[in-house]
Amino acid sequence: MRDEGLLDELLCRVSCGDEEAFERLYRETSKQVFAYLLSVVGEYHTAEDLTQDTFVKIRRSADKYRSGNAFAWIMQIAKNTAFSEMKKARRSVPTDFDEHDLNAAYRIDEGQIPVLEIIRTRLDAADSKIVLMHLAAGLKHREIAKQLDMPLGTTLWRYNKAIKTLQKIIKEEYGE
Amino acid sequence: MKVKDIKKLLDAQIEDKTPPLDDKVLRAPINAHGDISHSSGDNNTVNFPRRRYGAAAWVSAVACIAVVVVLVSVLGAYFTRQKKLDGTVDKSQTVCYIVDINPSIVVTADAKGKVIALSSGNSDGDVVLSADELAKCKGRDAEECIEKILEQAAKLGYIDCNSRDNKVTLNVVGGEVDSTTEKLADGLQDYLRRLNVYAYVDTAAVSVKEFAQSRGWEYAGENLDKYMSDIQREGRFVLGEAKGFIGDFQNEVESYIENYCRGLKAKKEILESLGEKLDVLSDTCDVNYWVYKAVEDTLLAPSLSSQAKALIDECDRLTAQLKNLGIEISNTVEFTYYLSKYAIIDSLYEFVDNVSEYIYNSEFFGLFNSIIEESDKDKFSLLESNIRKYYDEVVSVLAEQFDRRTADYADIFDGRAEISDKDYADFLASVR
Repeated sequence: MRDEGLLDELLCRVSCGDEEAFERLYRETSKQVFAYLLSVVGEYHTAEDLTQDTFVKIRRSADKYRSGNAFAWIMQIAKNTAFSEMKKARRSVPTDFDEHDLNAAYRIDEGQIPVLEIIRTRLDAADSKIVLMHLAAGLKHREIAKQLDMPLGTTLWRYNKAIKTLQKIIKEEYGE
Repeated sequence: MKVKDIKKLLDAQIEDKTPPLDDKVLRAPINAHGDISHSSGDNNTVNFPRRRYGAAAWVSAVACIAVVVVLVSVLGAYFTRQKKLDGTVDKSQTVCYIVDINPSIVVTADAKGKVIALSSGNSDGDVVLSADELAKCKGRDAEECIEKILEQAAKLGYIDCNSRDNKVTLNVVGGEVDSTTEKLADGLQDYLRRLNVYAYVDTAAVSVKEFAQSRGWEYAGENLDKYMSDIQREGRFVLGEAKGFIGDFQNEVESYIENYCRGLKAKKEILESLGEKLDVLSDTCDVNYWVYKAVEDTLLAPSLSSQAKALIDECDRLTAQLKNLGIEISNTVEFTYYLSKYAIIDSLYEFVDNVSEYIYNSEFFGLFNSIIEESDKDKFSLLESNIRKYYDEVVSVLAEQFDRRTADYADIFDGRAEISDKDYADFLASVR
């Protein structure tokens, strides 16, 4: 659950130049920002770079923040960062994930179910985005529907369907 | 594997991949404004023009024997409370505390007891909330906030400092009076004692329904519960049909509500844009747009710089747009009135969001996920008609709230050359 009060307080402190608050803000939100960017660009390395760019922009725009909707404000910056990067690279939202990136960038502990990889590689691209945005980035279905320009009902059903597929894969291949 | 276990694994794997905070980020300068106080009153989306009135000198202390404080431990706001299929409420989803003071003040806090919103339900509540210290309560502990409310109530005479018969009631709404509430009540009593104010702090419980009714939500709330129980009683529906239907229905509700709010939103945005231009015109060119418009075609009209001319043209364009939308403005008071009137759209959106959240997260989905029998086909039309009735009511409640709340303050400004700070504060509080 998002702690809007905390994020709001941290952002207000950052807007006054408080470095400690910024570090805490990074700890509190970088995971969600990264997950969101990963869902949009589909590549680990790009998502990592964009996560850092997003936080650089947050520092530079801190004085423009006004109290309220802290998480939405951060995610808006992440979204703008991702879309301007994609525009710059003249590429559209990828429909599939980069095989090379996948092999090179991700290693998991032996015995651990690679949930993230299953979501990225085994689910339909749009379903994968929805699951990452909701489950990992913490976006509400309404927000996801708006971002993906999709009816809310469709988003919800795709999410439910994707979770069931995910559960089925885990059960069949990992016995859990 | 359950979704929460999947989430746990996913979180760990995402964390592992999230880049650490490095020098590239830290080297970037923070653009700081250096004043933390600005943040408590402003909002990212609503831009009111700066007030140009003097300090409030209108508050007169009114003696009052009892102050009622209601601590609401609801599971989210009334419409956002989340029910499980068995009808119980899932406290882990949305927990918040709302404190209601009669003089009516509602303090909403999150699961950690941090205040996320303050609002009032009557003019006495507005008076208490007009204190500067209370504007900074957001994000602070609810207890600290209630202390400040009581202190302010005492300062304003709502608690008689010379009497030993004051009573403060701490009610828990949507829950039971537990040890936390008792502890809070004890703390408040001690706090009042330290201020040399004698008041008995009592505790009680209020149901969510009672609370909702006191906030004017009973109409939608009661019907919503009724339809929910109808749907539950009717049981299961055909999976394929239900899936298709729920998708369409939600889309339809979204458009319906969006359409309802769109006109109001457009007016609000133009008004805010006009407000910005008026401020720039006044601050940088020292020209009051309304005064200028009144003397524009006379010898009294001042000569204008090119910047002022451009701004006035821009204001002309915006006021013409507003006129086309039925809003005619010719002075500052009227402008402030309309600006504030349409600020209500934010609370409407909040209301819509709450209702939508309720629909999307409530039994509807639980029921649809439990659909298993083909033989329930014929019951589907009942569900459809129930839902349609429900969302018609949602919109009628929106319309009713808008009309009622705007009607409450419409006469404040009629026929007055100027408004007092109190009028303005009452008015703003009533629309926010």
